[in-house]
Amino acid sequence: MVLPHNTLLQISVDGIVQGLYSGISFGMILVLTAAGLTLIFGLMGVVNFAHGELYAAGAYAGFVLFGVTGNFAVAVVAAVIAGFAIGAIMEVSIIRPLYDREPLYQLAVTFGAAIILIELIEVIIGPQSQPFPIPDLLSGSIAVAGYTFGTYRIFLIVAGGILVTALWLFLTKSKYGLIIRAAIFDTEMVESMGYDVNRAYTFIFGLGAAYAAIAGVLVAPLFGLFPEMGAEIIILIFVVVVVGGLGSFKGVIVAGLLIGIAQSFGQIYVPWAAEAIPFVLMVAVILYRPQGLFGVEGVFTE
Amino acid sequence: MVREGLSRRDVLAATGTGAVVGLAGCSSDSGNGNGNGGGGGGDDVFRVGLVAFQSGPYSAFAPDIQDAFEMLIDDWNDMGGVQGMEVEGFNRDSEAAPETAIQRAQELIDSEGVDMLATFLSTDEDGGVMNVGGRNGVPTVTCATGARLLVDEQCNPYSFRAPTSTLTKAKAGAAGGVDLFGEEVFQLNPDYSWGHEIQEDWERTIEEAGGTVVDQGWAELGASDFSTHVGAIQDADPDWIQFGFAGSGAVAFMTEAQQTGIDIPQFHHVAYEPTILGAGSSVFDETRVYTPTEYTYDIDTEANQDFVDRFESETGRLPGLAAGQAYRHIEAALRAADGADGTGPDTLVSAIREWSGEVISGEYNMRSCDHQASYPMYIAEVDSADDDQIYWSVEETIPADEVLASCDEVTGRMECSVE
Repeated sequence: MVLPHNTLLQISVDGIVQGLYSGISFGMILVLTAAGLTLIFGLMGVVNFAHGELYAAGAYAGFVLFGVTGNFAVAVVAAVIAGFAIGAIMEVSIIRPLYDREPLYQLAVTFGAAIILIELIEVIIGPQSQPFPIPDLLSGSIAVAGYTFGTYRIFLIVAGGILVTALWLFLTKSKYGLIIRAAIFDTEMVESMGYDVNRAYTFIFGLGAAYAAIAGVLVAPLFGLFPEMGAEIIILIFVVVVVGGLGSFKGVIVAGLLIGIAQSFGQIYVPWAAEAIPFVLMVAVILYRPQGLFGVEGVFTE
Repeated sequence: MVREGLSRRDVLAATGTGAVVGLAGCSSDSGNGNGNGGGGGGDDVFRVGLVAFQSGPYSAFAPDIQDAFEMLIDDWNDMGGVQGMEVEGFNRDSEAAPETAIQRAQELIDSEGVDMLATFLSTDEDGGVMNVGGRNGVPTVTCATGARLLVDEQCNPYSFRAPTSTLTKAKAGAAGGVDLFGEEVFQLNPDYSWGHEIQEDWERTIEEAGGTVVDQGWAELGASDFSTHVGAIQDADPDWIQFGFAGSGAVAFMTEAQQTGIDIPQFHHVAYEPTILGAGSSVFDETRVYTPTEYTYDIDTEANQDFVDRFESETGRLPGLAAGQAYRHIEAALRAADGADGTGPDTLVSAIREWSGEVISGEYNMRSCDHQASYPMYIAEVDSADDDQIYWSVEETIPADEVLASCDEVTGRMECSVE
């Protein structure tokens, strides 16, 4: 964002505008990435340590297709398909056999899957950073009321809002979303109605993975494309999920935006403490509201 | 000939998914080591061990390091070896973990009986391996980092630092930046020990060169969102930016700056090609990106051009900073060893610490006072880039004595001894 330099009042307004612009755009990235993670935990009880690598896998799938077609929309679709497919395969092959075991086994297996995905990316694409340009249509900046905003960040805010709303509507308003939630609550009843519950689990995991993947492909042109990109963001994503409340969809939205904005204002006004702000929030939430900001009811009844 | 240990990636590449989790991270030593410990194989082979980060966050540098090391060993065997002995290279992956680096260095000494160790590691890893070399009496040459910690606190009589210190690079870059672009500078550096070292050294040398730091920012190592920092830069309106990130942060920052329309020249403390390549060619079309560097393929010596041609012919790409550093620093140590009267550790140390001569990049001296290599520095600019390659041009050559801290200055603050 380009700041005009005028009066003292303008300087303080500048800071607020800068903080909100940076914070909301970064917060929306956190929301979008964390949505899939909290979806999988909220509906299935699985803490997926490979979520960051699904984010990276989506970015790389998009990168490959963008290289072939030069079309960013195709790249996004490719990321969604790749993310869903990898997630579905993970659920069937390594998560499903562990549903009856201690959660520790799921942690270990998803952690192992994360390492394998990073290595596969390095073997297939290469370890070096790859150029993933911002599409021409979304590059440049937009001027509003004397302030200049990066077009791609505005696009990220809008796209993130649409995608999160779509997921919310799907889970709470669509027939299949209701069946999925019912299957988690009362498996036998839903099975007796003729629905395949295993398929619902696979779909949920795939959907959560697809959301990670689409976040990855949308973020890559701005933050760069490299094999460890998922590992770099995953800690902050877990902080968002913990602050929001494990499994809470509403919590992820509020916590993601809150952390994005708090960190952004921190970088402007207390830069020495900015990086610690999300973790201070997390510690405070764990101490005083262990279930998270919205973690009481969970995604199903929100 | 170069023998390589089995890396995590090798295992994964060979066996695919699923079943390999238990094997991840394992490494085994191949080769027919003679089991001599304490350096020196005792037969007609001169053994050189390399411990380098080749997987993990620095894995992008692996191809350059591996290819350069293999080429160097082949070149020496083609020339008749060291003191007439065949040169055998042993390459081990530190996985970017200090404990692994230490383990690999000890294995090279115990199992392979290496006569000399070389490293291409981060500061923490390097400190550990330098200690291993010192404890075991094996000459050890670092090729990647000249952080103050290694210079001041972790030196020992068997360790040699080939890369220049942060202060030397800052001296070269600050003077060049003030001269080329102006006096007002914005500093943006990673918020950890090395980042603070970079910031302090650049601020000091910017002021010595007549410049002023108008504002500065910090971001955590691994940061990807630089929008508030870009806003602060725009607000400060400096003549140029001193930038201390080398990895993914560099790509994210350059992209963000380009998005916001900032085309202020950037001086990167270090610019490794495999990472900044990710910013895409259009960034370099619109923004002037410079770095004070110890090596680029554009260094105009006959030996370097021969090396560049052969490297490109064998690998299909131009040698990057990592390749040049690995090749020429180990080359200098081998040249010193070749002129020694034997391969005993103390004989090799005496030969390396007094050595002066030519390597592919030209003049190269090892200072006995602090075991610091001395050679010219270069101001390089990114000319252009495509999807696979960064193209450099050398803008200025700076003699070593203009930027290297004096023996008195360095030894005055050293808390360890190289004697």
